[in-house]
Amino acid sequence: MPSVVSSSALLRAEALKKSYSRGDQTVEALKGVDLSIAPGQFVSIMGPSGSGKSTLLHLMGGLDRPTSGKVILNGEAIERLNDRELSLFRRRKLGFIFQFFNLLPTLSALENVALPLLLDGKPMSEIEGRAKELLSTMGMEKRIQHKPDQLSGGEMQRVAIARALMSDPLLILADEPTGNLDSKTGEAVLTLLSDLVKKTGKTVVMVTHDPNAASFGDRQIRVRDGLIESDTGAASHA
Amino acid sequence: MRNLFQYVGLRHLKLKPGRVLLTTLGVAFGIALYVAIAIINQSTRNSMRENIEAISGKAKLTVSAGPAGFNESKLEIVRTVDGVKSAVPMVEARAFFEGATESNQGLYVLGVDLLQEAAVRTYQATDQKVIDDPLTFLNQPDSIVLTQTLAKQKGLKIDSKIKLSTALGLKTFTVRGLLKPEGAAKAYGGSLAIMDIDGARMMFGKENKLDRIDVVPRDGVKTDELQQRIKLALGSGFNVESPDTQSAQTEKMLASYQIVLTFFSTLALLVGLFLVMNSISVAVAERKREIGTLRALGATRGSMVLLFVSEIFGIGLCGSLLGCLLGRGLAEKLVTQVTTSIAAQFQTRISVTHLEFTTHEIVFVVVMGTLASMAAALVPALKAAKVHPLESMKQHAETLSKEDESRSRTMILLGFILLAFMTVSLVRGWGRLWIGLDFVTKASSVVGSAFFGPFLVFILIYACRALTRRFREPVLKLSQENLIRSRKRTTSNVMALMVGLFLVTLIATVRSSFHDTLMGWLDRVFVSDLMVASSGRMITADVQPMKEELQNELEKIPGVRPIGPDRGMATRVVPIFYHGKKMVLKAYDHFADFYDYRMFGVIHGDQAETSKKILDSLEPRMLVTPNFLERQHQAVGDTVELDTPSGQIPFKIVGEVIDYGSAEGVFYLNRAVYKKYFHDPMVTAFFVNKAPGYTLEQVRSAIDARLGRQWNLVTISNAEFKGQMQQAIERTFAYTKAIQLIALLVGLLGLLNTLLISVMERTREIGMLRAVGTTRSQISRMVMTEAVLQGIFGATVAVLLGAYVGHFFVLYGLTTNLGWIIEFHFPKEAIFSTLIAGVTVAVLAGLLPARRAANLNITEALDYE
Repeated sequence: MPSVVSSSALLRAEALKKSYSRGDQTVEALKGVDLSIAPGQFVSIMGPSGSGKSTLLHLMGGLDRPTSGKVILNGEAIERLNDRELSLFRRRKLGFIFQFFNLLPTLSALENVALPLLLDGKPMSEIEGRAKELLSTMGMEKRIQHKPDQLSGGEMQRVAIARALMSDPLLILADEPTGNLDSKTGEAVLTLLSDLVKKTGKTVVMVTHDPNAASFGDRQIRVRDGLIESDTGAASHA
Repeated sequence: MRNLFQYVGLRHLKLKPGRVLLTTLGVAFGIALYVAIAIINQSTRNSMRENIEAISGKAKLTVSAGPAGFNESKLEIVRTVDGVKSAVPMVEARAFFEGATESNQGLYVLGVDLLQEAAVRTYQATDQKVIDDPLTFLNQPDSIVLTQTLAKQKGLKIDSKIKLSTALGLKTFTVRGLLKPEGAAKAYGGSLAIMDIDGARMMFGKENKLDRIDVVPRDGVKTDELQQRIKLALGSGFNVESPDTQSAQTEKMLASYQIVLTFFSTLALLVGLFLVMNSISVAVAERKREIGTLRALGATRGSMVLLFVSEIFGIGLCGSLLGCLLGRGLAEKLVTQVTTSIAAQFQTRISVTHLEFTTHEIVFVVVMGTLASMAAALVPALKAAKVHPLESMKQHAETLSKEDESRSRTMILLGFILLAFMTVSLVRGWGRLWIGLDFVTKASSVVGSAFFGPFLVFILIYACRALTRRFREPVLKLSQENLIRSRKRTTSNVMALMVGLFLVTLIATVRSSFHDTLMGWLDRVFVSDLMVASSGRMITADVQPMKEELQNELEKIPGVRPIGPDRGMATRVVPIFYHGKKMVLKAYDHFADFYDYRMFGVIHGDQAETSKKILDSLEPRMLVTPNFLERQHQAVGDTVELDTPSGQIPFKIVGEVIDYGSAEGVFYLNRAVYKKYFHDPMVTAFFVNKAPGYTLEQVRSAIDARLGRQWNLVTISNAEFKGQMQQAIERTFAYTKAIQLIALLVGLLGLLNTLLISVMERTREIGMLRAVGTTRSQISRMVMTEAVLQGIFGATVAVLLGAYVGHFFVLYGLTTNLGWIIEFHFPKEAIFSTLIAGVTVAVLAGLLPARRAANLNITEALDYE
């Protein structure tokens, strides 16, 4: 079932297709997806393994390029950007939260949060205030100098969320953010994300296979066999 | 970028101090050897140039005419040439201290005209005047002035008596002055003495002769025009050269030898840089997930390249600095060995008094070493740039992706092409066209072997798996499967070890080929029981020449086998210039029948018949070595004109002979013919055989008793001569042992690096194995077995490739560089020791990773991401 594409959307996907080669076979991960996401939404993308949900997220985040179709983010067709422009776009306009946290093991929590702006060449003295503030918001003010191997799974994911917010992104993309956490910690993280959307108006797109996690979103998109199967929720249309 | 280096790069370097140290040492060792050889080469060239300039002084031209000198009447002819301001005569002689058996126990004696000498050369005395009492000095022909350096070495002072062997036997001299090591007294490392020209002539048997005339032109006169006028006035048979030309000739002479030295040291440097590349490759593999994360967060490809290259900057800088320091020290240790072997090959005295390594050169080496290290890091850094942001999502990347497979095939193909190029280039002699091509050919051997070798290793692993299929040992099976499954990892491991062992084998091949060829030649041609010469270094013919009449005395000694009427025992070995190139001339008597014409290593013809062509004839004929024919574009049957004191004489080339006396060419003449045209009756050595019923010792003692003391003779047996030659060859290649050790160390460091990473990458897999019941001991044995298998197969392939490359380098490359025909001899003993070394290195490198693997905590390992 196609989702309606609105022109005032923060993000628009138009006829998005993605194919991979696996040995001698070609796998069509996405077979033509149309989608739009309004600002301030918390969107959950659900689907079984191999449905194409992660591929959709990757394309929306500019982590991969579509075989055909368009991804328009804040009016910019990101599939047309070259690699360098795409890198800068991800750095300045997007925030990522990964299933396995993906914190750099040699950096402290504070430095991990500051990383996107450090990549932009900003001196630490200029940005550490903001990083500390974000960590405080996540309840991590007492752990700012700790390295990832000194933090629990839930703490690491909080640091990752803080990092995702560091560059004040247009969009936050979360790939199975609770996949590596116990249910209690996972719920706490999802609550954080939900509160983030409500309080700051940030837009979050989350991929999950867990229906309980998906229910935290105010819009649920179900993907199956490379196509959108259903799109429900309070603000399903932008 | 600064932030990336500070917060990511630097942190990783601090986290792995061991690896940083290993990589730095790898760079340092490679740079050290390169620097050491470069210092020695440069210092040798400078030393020889300084010698020439010190002796030449203010002279712009020097007149000479071969080892026997020329008649003093030529001095007046030169003086009358238009444009000559001063023409200063000199006789030169080589003298040895009593009992000397080595070149460094000799000195150069310059017989000078004290009244005219100041026009060309100046000397500084230690006291107020060089000679306190000129009248006594001139009246006493035994008067000699030594350098302060030499006097100090020998514990001599003014009025000391010294005994020196001369062509007329042992003579006593009186020291009447000491010179400061300045001006001409600096030459030959201070192993110099000055005499009045007439005294020198008398003491050294050079009556009415001169060895050189130094010419100072009038102001405004062009040197090259004056050179032509002097040549015209003197006629053929004379060399008229400027000091610059002499220096240039000397440098050319050294160049071919130094190229071989530089080749080996460059290989060592390449191996060190390979370690850098290997180290960064390992770091990229280790940090793939992190790179993916950085890319996902917005780091550009360019910044990834800069990150890894900048991590190497510090290592390259420190390694280069350390390498400079080590290299300077290594140069001190190796200089004597290297210069001795150069001197042996080129029949010339080299005394490097100081090793030069200027600040400017240090800066240059450090900058180039750092840049080279960063360039070596570039290839894996570019790989890092290609890591996709989606790598951040993956847990493991052990299996070979399609891209990796195709890259692996490309590398194998490239390796094959490079080896093929190296083969064709050596066979066709492309290296002779341009020195850059020569370097590329040699670099291709290393890189080609590194890329193609792993393919051969996999063939061996598959073969081993097939052969051991019936074995029940699970650790062996698991190890083999691991090696096959993780092709990229196995390739990295094997490459690290192989490059070092390849170099070890290549050097062993070249060394054994050299040794066996030279000793085989010597066995063939040195057939007399004894050799008799005056003091000096016999194996390089750097000895005091003797009067030929000594043969009569030798023949009278009981136990000396009679040689028959009209036969001789003598040989004369002298340097000779042909078209500006220094060659060696060997003049032989018509030896006794019992030699059966075996004295010459004739090729392409019957031994006896070819030898007779010069020994049975008084025509100007000669045998020449193949390098002369090739370099001078001549053939057997051609006639070449040699400059002699009798003028330019056409000599017919009547055959080819093997001799390793010179890289440019060796001439064999009948000594009677030599005497006729070169006016030199002196003898370098006598070949003596013992008569039946006598022992060698009896004959030697008899010679010593009757003639030894008076003439300062040294009698050496066939076996002793060959033993000395063997030692000289070993000393020549002693420095290559340093290179082999460095190559082995680099191989060890490289393999240790990659094996540690292997274990780290397989943490989860090892955890799983432990969880299902594999014991710690089995895990440890599995890792060790993998290391040993890689060691055995890597070493085997390294040996095969090293022998293959060595074969072509020996048969073709050495001919290009040294002008010698060296036979390829497979170094069986060295191969065995290389295999042992390879396995040992693999075992040593495997110990720590095996221990780490065995000690992994199961739950932590399974949790590992």
